[in-house]
Amino acid sequence: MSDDPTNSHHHPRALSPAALRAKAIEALLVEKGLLASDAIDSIVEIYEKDVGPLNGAKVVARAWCDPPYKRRLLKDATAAIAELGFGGMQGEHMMVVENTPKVHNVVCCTLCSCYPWPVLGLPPVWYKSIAYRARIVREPRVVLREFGLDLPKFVEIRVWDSSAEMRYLVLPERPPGTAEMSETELASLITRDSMIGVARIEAPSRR
Amino acid sequence: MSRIANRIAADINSPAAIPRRNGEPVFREPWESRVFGMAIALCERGLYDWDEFRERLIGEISSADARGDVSTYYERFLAALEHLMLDKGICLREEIDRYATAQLPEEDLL
Repeated sequence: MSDDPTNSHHHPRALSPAALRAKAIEALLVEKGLLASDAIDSIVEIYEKDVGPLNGAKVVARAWCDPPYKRRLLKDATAAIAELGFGGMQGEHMMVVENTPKVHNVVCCTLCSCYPWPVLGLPPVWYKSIAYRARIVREPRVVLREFGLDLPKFVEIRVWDSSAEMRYLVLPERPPGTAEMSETELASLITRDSMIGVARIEAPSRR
Repeated sequence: MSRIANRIAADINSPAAIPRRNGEPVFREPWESRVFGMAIALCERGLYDWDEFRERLIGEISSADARGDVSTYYERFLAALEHLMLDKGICLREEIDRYATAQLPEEDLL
């Protein structure tokens, strides 16, 4: 971007005092052997790209592949999720709600933005919007249609309102045509939106 | 996801929460992401606890607000990191000053 002063190779004086200070500290810490520049690169990359719904996808894929795990997950999600090494909740409990051909679950937080972050990362902006929080309870079918999810009339929609004590994760339906796929391959199909319940997981296209 | 990643991901509504767009961290300038990465890297090396840094950051934010300071989130983040490093004896202010001066003539090499 041309208005970014640090992006210019030809106007070094535009570098802000803070940018200069940051560079100095980094150079000093590298010199002291306290950190490596590529370590910073990889941390930033993790936070920008990978801190997200990956953990939840692993939980869902395991549940699809391992029926006893799925039973444990539906009975005590907090413990079953901890089995895979994900946690760090601060006293909140997790509950996993299962989608079936007749029941579709969707999660919200009407009061604020409670979100199962250890499994879903950072909440999307729309999740925190007043419009979503208010309307998903009042007219879930309409809101889901706006997300591109047009559910048949016979499908019952259940809306789960998260709180400080209870966080919900949707266990989406395993799409058809995935019987041959490994757990890892399955995990790659599972989207954040499907675990919030505003989307379903599409069958993988055969090429 | 590391423990610190969990902490940061969870910190959404407090004053110390990092700026985000569509749920993802937002860095307006490259140095902001460097400072963010440094704070985590030093913590992962065990030089301080994340809570120690977070408390500094919250303090920095509230005192800047009290002063009516127009500084940005990451300018305050940088100040918090610098003060914590000094207090922890990770480096000296003079060293940072010296490196900052040394950066000046080399800027064309960016």
